[in-house]
Amino acid sequence: MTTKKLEKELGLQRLSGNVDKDIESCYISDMLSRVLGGCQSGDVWITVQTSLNMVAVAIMTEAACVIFPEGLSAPDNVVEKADEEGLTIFSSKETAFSLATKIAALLK
Amino acid sequence: MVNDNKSDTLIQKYTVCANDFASAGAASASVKKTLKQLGFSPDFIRRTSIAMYEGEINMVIHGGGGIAEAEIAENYVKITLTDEGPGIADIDLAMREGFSTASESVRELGFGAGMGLPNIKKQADEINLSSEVGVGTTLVISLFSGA
Repeated sequence: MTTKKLEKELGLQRLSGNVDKDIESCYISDMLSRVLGGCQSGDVWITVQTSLNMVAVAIMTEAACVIFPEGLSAPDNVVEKADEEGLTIFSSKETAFSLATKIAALLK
Repeated sequence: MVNDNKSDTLIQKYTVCANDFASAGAASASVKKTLKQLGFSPDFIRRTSIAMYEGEINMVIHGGGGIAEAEIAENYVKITLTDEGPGIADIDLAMREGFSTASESVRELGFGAGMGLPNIKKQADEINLSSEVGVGTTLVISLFSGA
């Protein structure tokens, strides 16, 4: 599974980034301190954190991409920073739970 | 960033500003790029980046800013984070997972879960934390490639 395939399969809206990356698993948390210890390289990270710090954490942990659930979007400066860093951010109207179950099925 | 190149090591020095969450992580991101350019392994780069970022965030939140220095050699990276902040009264307690003195506003940003120092310890090969109340804190994080 790759980020581009995930985008197509889940009908995600791309907010930033255009690099196709391999997906290994999925991680959900909004507490950045926890994400830094728990999110693994290649994870799809589902979060409602839309700040610049989210971009830094996604880059440091090597998350494959970030998905904002429930139709959330990001401020322009966050999208610009993510583009600059090559971080793919998607938005989806679905909940974190719904996204996670679909990602799990796709990774089977 | 200041580069101070000796013959076999590269020194990168950065100023980290207090409470500046918008540019927090810039030093770690810069070191990460350098490590990539130098061809360190992805796992080593990831561990180094996370450990340094955690330390950098601590300086932003608790340390009143400070100096972050990365010494990069062929087989190791040594990161020294120095601040002149309030210091840590009880280092053993600060190292305990879940313990945090972060304010509510910091927690709202997603930090302050008391995970930082334990995670640095987890990612690094060696850490050395020294602190004096009212004087400041120095954290040295070492990672050995191939270790």
